[in-house]
Amino acid sequence: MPSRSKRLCVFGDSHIGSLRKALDAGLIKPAGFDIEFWGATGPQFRQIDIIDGVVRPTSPQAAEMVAQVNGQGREALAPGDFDIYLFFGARLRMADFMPPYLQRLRDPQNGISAAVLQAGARGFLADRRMARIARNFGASGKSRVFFAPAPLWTWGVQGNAAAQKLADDYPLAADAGKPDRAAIWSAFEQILEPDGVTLLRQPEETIIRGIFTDPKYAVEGAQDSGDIGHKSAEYAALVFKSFLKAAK
Amino acid sequence: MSNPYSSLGSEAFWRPAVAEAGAHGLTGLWNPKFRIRPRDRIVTAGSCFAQHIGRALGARGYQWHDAEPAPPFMTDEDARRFNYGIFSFRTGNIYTPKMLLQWLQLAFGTGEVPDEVWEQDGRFYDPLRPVIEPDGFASEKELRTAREATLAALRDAVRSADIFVFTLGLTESWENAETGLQYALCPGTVKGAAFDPDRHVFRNGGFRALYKELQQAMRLMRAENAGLKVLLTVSPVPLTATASGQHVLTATTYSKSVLRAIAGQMVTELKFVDYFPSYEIITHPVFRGMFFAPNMRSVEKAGVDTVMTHFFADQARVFGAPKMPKRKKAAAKPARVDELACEEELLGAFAK
Repeated sequence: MPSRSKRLCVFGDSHIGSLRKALDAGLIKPAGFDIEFWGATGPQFRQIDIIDGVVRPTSPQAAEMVAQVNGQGREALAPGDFDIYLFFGARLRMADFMPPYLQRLRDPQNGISAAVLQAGARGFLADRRMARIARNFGASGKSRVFFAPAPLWTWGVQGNAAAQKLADDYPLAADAGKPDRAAIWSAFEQILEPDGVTLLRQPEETIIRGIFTDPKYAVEGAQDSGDIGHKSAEYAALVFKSFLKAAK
Repeated sequence: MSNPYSSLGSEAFWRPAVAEAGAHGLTGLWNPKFRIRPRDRIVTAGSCFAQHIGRALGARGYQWHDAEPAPPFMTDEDARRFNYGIFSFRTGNIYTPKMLLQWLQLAFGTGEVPDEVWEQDGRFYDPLRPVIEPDGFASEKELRTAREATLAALRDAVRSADIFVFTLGLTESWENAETGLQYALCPGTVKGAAFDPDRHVFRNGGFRALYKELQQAMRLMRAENAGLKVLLTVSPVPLTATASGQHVLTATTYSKSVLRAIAGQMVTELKFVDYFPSYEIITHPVFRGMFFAPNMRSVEKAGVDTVMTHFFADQARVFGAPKMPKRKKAAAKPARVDELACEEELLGAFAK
């Protein structure tokens, strides 16, 4: 008897758009999964919260956007509603955390211990609502939970000075290599795993200059829009492949 | 008939200055040598009480310099656990003049400071600050990296400070019998090293030795920063324990008396050094111990507040009210990079 498909909810902010595009373009073949999207863009995403263990929009605007994104009429999410939750982007921005910590890991005059790094990661996660929700869902034991954080900013997008400023602010982070980033990912994993949340690292092949995403993974039209936050369907496909590997 | 006392102000006489003024009416306890302005960069180090001074100065809009700030996103609780923001750098408590001297010698590469690292149960501990991280360091390399960060912060603090506030804490200490390295805490009382009576020796410094060590520390700092002014205080917190063989109460009196005398002597001899009497404000019998917690050791917030009230009042009395800098308006937060185009991005993907 064939096993039934696993119900997968991709939950997140505007970053889930890239995954939707990857699916539509056939870049990923999620055999064995019934995928449902649920989420909203940044401003409305902030109006999604967990109340009595259930995630739901807290404003009509957010509810409207969730309805549009989900398209299945699902108004709320609770642990156990799906076999697997994949938090995607979801405002867990590694571009906020990685540069200052990689700078410190690379600076012989400003180094920190692994315990301090982990304390920073703990504080970062504690202050992010979606990380709290993911940990809540994961700790329930009713669904498997994966978290693919919002990726590093895209390098080389013309007309956006923010990336250059970041590079200027954290010059030593540009030399950060895989082991440095691994130390940071590992700190996050050590915190999330006991709560049943599997972290999906940004694929190493997408990272350049220590703290940036390779421009070949920029969102479509980035050079015109100056968007350094969002990524392409190809990027989402890579992340989804790492999810499939981890979810096996 | 006139005499040397007849022209003195009332502050020179016990009856009007103390007995009649009462604990809450005392004024003019400190005649500061130099002005401390809100824009001055103030660095604090030393015994526990120095942390209160740093915090109080910061709360009043003075520029307390945190040369080794906690990395971003750490909670306040974790930052404290890892000893960030307690003093201007992460040395932990510096109880004695020799400990200060050792830190400065390490920071500026002057003098030989013996090298020693403690290891226990696979974790590594810095004998100069064994409790700086709650569970020690993962490796000796990590310990040395973290120490280097603190030494860099100490260098920055000394070289850039206008005022260095140092609170003298103890005369008692423990040292390595062979190398003379002074430890921050007695081995065996904290994780890191077992006590070894052959290796670890007790020292209760006297006036001459401690004065010389503090003098060396002052010279070293001034060599790095010729404009630096030093404000000494003596911690009013009694000893937790003494290894001197005396009763802890009398040992406390000895320790504080020596430190108070050293501070006084230093003020007399060095123009750039002043002493602020926080010790007297907390411990003097006129205050009847009212600023101590029931254990008669910890200083209550009211005590710190009173100390700082005297600090600011005496500065204002001698130099006039300070000009507080205007608070800068917080700049408007720019939109997040992934919010600028997010609606378009998401709705484009999910458009029917």
